[in-house]
Amino acid sequence: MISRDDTITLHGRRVRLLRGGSGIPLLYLHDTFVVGAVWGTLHDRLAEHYEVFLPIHPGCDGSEVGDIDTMDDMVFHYLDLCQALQIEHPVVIGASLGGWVAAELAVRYAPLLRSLILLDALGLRLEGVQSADVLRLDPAQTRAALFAAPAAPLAQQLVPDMPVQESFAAYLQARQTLARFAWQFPDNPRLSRYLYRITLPTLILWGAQDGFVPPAFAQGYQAGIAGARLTLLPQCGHLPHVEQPEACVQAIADFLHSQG
Amino acid sequence: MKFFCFHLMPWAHLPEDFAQRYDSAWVTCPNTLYDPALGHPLYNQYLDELELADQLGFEGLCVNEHHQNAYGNMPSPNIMAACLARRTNQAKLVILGNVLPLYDHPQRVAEELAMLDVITQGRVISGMVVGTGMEYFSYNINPTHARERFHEAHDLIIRAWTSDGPIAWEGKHYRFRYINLWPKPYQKPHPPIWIPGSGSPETMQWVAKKRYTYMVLPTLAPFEIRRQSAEYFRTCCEREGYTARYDQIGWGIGVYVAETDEQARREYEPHFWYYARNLLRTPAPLSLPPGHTSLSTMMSMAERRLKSRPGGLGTWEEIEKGGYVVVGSPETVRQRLETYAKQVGFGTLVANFSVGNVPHELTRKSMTLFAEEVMPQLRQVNVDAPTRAPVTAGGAL
Repeated sequence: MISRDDTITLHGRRVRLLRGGSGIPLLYLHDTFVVGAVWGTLHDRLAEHYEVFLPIHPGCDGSEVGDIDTMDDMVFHYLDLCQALQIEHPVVIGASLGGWVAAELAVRYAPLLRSLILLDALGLRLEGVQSADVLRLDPAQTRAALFAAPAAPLAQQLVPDMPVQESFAAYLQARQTLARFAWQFPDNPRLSRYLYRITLPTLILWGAQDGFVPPAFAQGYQAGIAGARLTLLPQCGHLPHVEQPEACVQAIADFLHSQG
Repeated sequence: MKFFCFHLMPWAHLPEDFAQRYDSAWVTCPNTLYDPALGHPLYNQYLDELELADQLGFEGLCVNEHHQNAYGNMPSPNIMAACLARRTNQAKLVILGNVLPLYDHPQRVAEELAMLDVITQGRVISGMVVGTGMEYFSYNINPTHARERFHEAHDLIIRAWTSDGPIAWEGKHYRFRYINLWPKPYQKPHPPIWIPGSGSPETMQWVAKKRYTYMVLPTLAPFEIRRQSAEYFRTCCEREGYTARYDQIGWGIGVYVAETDEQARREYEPHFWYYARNLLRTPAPLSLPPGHTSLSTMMSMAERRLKSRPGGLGTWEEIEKGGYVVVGSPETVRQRLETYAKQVGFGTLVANFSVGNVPHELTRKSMTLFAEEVMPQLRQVNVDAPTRAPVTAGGAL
């Protein structure tokens, strides 16, 4: 359950912030494909045990982009947000673009975080493995890249053939946000050399059929982060939290439980 | 009215079943379909056609920039203008335009145009464009920076042309300690500037403010939508406190003239479909990358695009009724262009004679008939009062 959906101001920028639950703080950095109902099953379940903070990225529906332009800006933005809300030692979960932001936060400020969970995170450049150029794909191709079951109603609903009037602006904003950081190459070529700095309990949770950033990228993250646990979810594409929410919840719960 | 001859220099040798086999004439269209042995005569044919336009009395010859595609084979429009520079004597050379955001060194554009302007003793008109969405894929330029880079590069080029160097440039996308143009442009303060557009209100407001020429691109948007663009541009000029000159509004359009209406259509139509069905073949994600245009423009464009793509235009009657092209006998073409000119209020006609894979002889014939039997009467339409002196940079032709 979302207990609060409101707007805070951070250095002159409006930020929409969804909140729920209580307990240990958990910062969730979202993807750019689920528009509208960003808060889903996963967040409901997390809110049973954690105080979940789900801020909407600058430039996405409800949050101003201001002068946020680079990945460094994003990292500082979320540091500012944690400071402003007194979010201390949070569990950080990031999906897709949000996973990239989470990894960039973690290589810089691991001691400020409790643990890290990457869901099909962008961000890594791997020799010999290509991510898909998703911003070039038409809706059918996009569904094939993002979902293990591209013909399922979920895929049709999240990536419709024809834009849905009510959510079209939010959809365009989300695409712009993805493009701002991830145009053609959704990565930071320098990130992999600093993964050793992530000295945190880390779960890398990945859809086995992710056609955007295939599981080779999960292995890349695992190889760079000492002690990281890798879980591949079967029948799952780029968005585990919506395509396999129960399995995703279970894997995250197991991991967090093992951390105590 | 003034007459400009625009060339796209399309690839004319796509296979018959291109549209069935390929989803795009851009970016990913395999270059195995390009054959330099056929490209050689084709380039020279197209350049001959532009040289012919000079001899026929057109005021200007227009070339433009597109990358990695079959639609228009001019990745460097400045090279095409250079080819024309010493083979023509009268006509303006309109580079329509350089795609500014693609370049990390906008002063290269400033330099090349200054070179052309000096070589031709001031015959250059400089078009500047944001470019199609496809170019951002081909050159890996982030489309969310397109507008910013366009405006900053424009400002830098104007400064480079008009400043006594060396000067420094400190911007967001461009930083240079030394901007010091050798050569400087021949025209003072700098070559006139044309901005082609497909209806974005932000662009029109800016062009009006700068008093540049706005050219309504010959996109396959219906006549009425393009007419409204011109009208909005005039409104923008009024808001800036002046009345737009006729020649400040350019009208891009496909033109074909033959002996009779029937013959014109018979000669032109297959080549038009080659253009519409093959060369315009572009998946929507390629033409509308995120951020390339503002959110509001994006939304209206997406909507309009769904209604007006040639895929949805099945018949020649629809093409004619929509005013996408003007095709017919000299009398028909003259009447229709005069009607359009009076409805729209344009004084700069930017006519594209060579469509798709139309053979050279037909293009020659059409251009000649146009120059001899259409131009003379239309010259009297929408004529501006003479200006006392060029008011501002770029305003007058």
